[in-house]
This record gives sequence, structure tokens and C-alpha cells, in this order.
Amino acid sequence: MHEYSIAQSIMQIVLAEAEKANARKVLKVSLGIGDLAGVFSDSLSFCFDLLAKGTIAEDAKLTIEKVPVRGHCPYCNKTFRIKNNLYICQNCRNPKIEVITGRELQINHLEIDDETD
Amino acid sequence: MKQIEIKKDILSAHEMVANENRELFKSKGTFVLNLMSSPGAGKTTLLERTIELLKDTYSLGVIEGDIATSYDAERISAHGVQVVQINTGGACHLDSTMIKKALNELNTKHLDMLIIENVGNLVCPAEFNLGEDIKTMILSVTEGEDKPCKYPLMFRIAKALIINKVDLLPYIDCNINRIIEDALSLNPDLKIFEISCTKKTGLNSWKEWLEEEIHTKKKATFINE
Repeated sequence: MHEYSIAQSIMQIVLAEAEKANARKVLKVSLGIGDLAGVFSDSLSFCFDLLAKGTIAEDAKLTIEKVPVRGHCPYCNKTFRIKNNLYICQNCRNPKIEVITGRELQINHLEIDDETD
Repeated sequence: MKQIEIKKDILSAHEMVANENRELFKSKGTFVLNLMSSPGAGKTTLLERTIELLKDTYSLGVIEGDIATSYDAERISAHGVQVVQINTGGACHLDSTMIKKALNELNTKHLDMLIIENVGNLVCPAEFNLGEDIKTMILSVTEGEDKPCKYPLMFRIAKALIINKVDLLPYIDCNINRIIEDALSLNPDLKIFEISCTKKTGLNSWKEWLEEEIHTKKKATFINE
């Protein structure tokens, strides 16, 4: 259910950035969401559409790029994908790994119609 | 049409307020614990037991987060500890702005430890930093041994895990060793306590761990002064 809060935060950033760029309309919002972030994409899209009504982002398309969970082993210096909750190095089995991606909740870019068009 | 690069964290506004809270706690030397679990795992009962053990030695404060009611705040208040109730009115988690607001109602001057009881939920609270030092979670054995694998983020970000209601193990079908194994494979540094809040077992090592954390925070503030 926290998708609504996240959609609110997205909308704040989108509208502020769109205003800065003199946008007439926001056409597309691209997000990067990590697989480890507890975010359900359908709910997020639903909340986003709800909040976008009556704003310049009303018809914007929300695209969500899922970012896989990846780890790095400080001992053998290998980087690997973490699957099935196995948080150990896939190469040397060391359990003290760093999780380098997978928790992202990021706005990557916007597509806008600006006033110069 | 124009494309603009943003590359911005969606929760950056929340994160800024969390850092403000963190700075305030740091200046006061207050150790802050964010306590999370599903509904009914025993957060408030653990708080009551913890208060009984620590209130004579330390100055304690509690922020209670619930969707509705002040039942929990009333339970805590009965122990003579200052408590602020936040009613989220539907929101499934606490965020840093709610904590910042609640701090206005709390005397933080000589506070050794502040415990924030989050809204009962194993998903959403994991995503929101409040400015706490440590995230701790409770899993009661009646919830089942499969929970670490089902809610990996919560078990990844917690520094301590309290396995509660262990007195019920003889009566239910739950393999506590699997909970421990799965939790540790998600988070090898996780500190685990096996506790029964109703039978008051296992509470001493929890108490000692908290005292150590309170002193560590105090020392860090003292050195910085």
C-alpha cells in the first residue's frame, strides 16, 4: 500500500522538474525500481494515474524498468546476480557480500513537450 | 519533444527529513530504535517488557505508530514513560516527516533511548528511513517459518531480529531453525534473540544489547563535543 506515498513523491519531483524545463505537458516518466524494493508496479501505475489527473502529467506514460539484485564480493572482486535470496558470493561462497543494485527507487528521465515546440 | 535526465531518488525528500531527525538525535545522544513487525507479533508487549527492564536506569521515550486508536499509547503510558501516538489514518508505514512532527510533543532533552513502534506491516516500513540508529524486527513463531524468504527486504535491513512467542513452539508446526538459517543467509550480521514476552524468557540478552547500543551512542556524542 505504500505505492501511494511513492507515487506522491514521484509526482512532486515530476511536476517540479517539468516546471523547471518549461514543459507544457509531460509525455513519459521513466522509473528504475529495484527487485528488492517492495513495490508492486501495477499499484504504482494506478496511483500515479490517479494523482496525475488535472496536472500537466495527466496523459503521461509511466514506464518501469526493473533493476535486478546484484552483489559484489569484496574478497574475490566478482560481481554477480543474486537469485532466490541467496546472499552469498556465487564464486567463492563468501557470505559477506555487498548488495550493489536492487533497492533502487529512482526517476531516470522524463519526456516533455516544451514551449519551444 | 524533449527528454530530460533526472536520476533522482524518489524518496529523496523523505531522506532529507530523516537526516534532520538523525542530526537532532545525534546532538542529544539519544539512541533510536525503529521497531517493525507484522500486526500481532508482539511489538507493544516487547516494549512493555523493555520499559520494565530499563526505565529505572535510563530515560525512555516512545513514538507509537498505528493506523487508528491510541490503545498502544495508553498501554505504554501506564508504565510512566512519555509517549506520543501517531495515527497515520490509513498509511501503512511511518515516514520521517511524521516523526519530525511527533518530536515537537516529546521532551528530547535528556532522552537516552527513543523507541519508534512502526505500523504493523512487513513490507512498507522497510522502505522508509526515519532517522533511527537501528532497525529491529520481531517475527513471532506463530507467523510461520517461511517469512524471511517471503519478506527479504525487511530481513535484509534489520540489524536485530527478535523471534517472539517461543513458548508456543511445542504447540505449533514451526521450525525455528529454518527461520534462523534463512534470516542469516539473507543477512549474515543479523543479531538474533529468542524471546517469550509473556513468559519473560530470553529478555536479558536483549536488555544487555540495548544497553550497549545506548552507551555507544552516548559515547559518540560525548567524543564529538
